Amino acid sequence: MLSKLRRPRGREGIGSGPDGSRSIARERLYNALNRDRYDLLAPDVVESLRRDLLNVISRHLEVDDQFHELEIQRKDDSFYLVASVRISSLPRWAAVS
Amino acid sequence: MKGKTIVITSGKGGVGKTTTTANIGTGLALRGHRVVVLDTDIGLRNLDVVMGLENRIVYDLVDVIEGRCKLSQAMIRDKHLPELYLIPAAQTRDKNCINSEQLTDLCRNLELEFDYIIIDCPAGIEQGFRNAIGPAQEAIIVTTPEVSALRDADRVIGLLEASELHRPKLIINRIRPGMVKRGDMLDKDDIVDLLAVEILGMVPADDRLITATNQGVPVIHDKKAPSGLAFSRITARIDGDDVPLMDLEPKGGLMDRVRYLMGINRSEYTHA
Ligand SMILES: Nc1ncnc2c1ncn2[C@@H]1O[C@H](COP(=O)(O)OP(=O)(O)OP(=O)(O)O)[C@@H](O)[C@H]1O
Ligand SMILES: [Mg+2]
Repeated sequence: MLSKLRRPRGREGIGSGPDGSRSIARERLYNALNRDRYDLLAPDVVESLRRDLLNVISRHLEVDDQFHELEIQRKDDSFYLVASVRISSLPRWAAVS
Repeated sequence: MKGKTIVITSGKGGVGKTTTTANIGTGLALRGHRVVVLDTDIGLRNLDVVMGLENRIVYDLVDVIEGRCKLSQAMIRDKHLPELYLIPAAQTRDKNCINSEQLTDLCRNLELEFDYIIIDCPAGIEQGFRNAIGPAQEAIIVTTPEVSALRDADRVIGLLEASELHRPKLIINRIRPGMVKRGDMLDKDDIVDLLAVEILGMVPADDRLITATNQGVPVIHDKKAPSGLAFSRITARIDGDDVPLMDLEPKGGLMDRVRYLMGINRSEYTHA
């Protein structure tokens, strides 16, 4: 989605070409927006995910009633939902194979 | 018939909210509508000066809300357009002296008699912003093509959505088409891509806007001003006309091209 950051060639004046400060501005805006959105969104969304995820998971596995880890993490330019929950008791079929 | 209330907001200060309010209000009145422009920037009123009506103020918004005068007494008729009125902000009070419900009641009353109520919102996201967006059915966000203003615009879009003002539209103000061409300014596509917002219009940086504002005349009255033309097109879109968005172009003449290639900043003429 984001074009690679390119160094502007000449400053001002004739020949400064199509890759001036715009691409830097674009990159910086992209990062600032992501940063802000992430800061504002994380607590709310994680909170509403918490219960829903536990409900879904416990239909398949017997797990603790709270997450060991549940957060939106940032790695380089991407965001990941990272969740881990302790399985309190493995069902028999899972133990066999 | 019931009128519509539109708030003009931005987050960041000084990007052109008051200028936009004056020109959209004037533009809608030029199209034959009955319009009120309402300054909610209490303590820092400016819309009166931009409209050239500063000498006619007797009562203000806070006087109406606190019952010191009738609504009609605080409405100042425009010099040029008989169906355009200004309600000025109070200058000696602060943003906390009114609340969103009071402003909403006032706008509901105005909607009974007017087609459009255009609210000039103060900068920031505090009480003054909350008050101004309270009565609105639609929101227009003004920005410039700069990282800081766009970042604030994104924040404001989030706050508007959270207040049930969905799909606000963006006006990009103070565009320099020559700089866009040189790759030294964010353009419309960058902004749509990153903010995922609908663009209502683009207004060039324009010396004629400053000259008009100096005289207390909204630049939309100036038929030769590129920014005035841009505001006319924006007004038509607000009013439901299907006016396509065009990229702003530096004026076609050879000398203009030479000038912007050389990076000489002049008022960059366009066809909106
Ligand atoms: N397109 C333009 N070209 C040239 N000058 C402009 C343009 N738009 C706005 N200006 C100038 O920029 C200044 C700020 O505009 P304006 O007062 O409308 O901003 P604002 O968002 O209302 O500011 P505040 O946040 O302080 O209320 C004014 O001096 C105005 O004349
Ligand atoms: Mg203002």
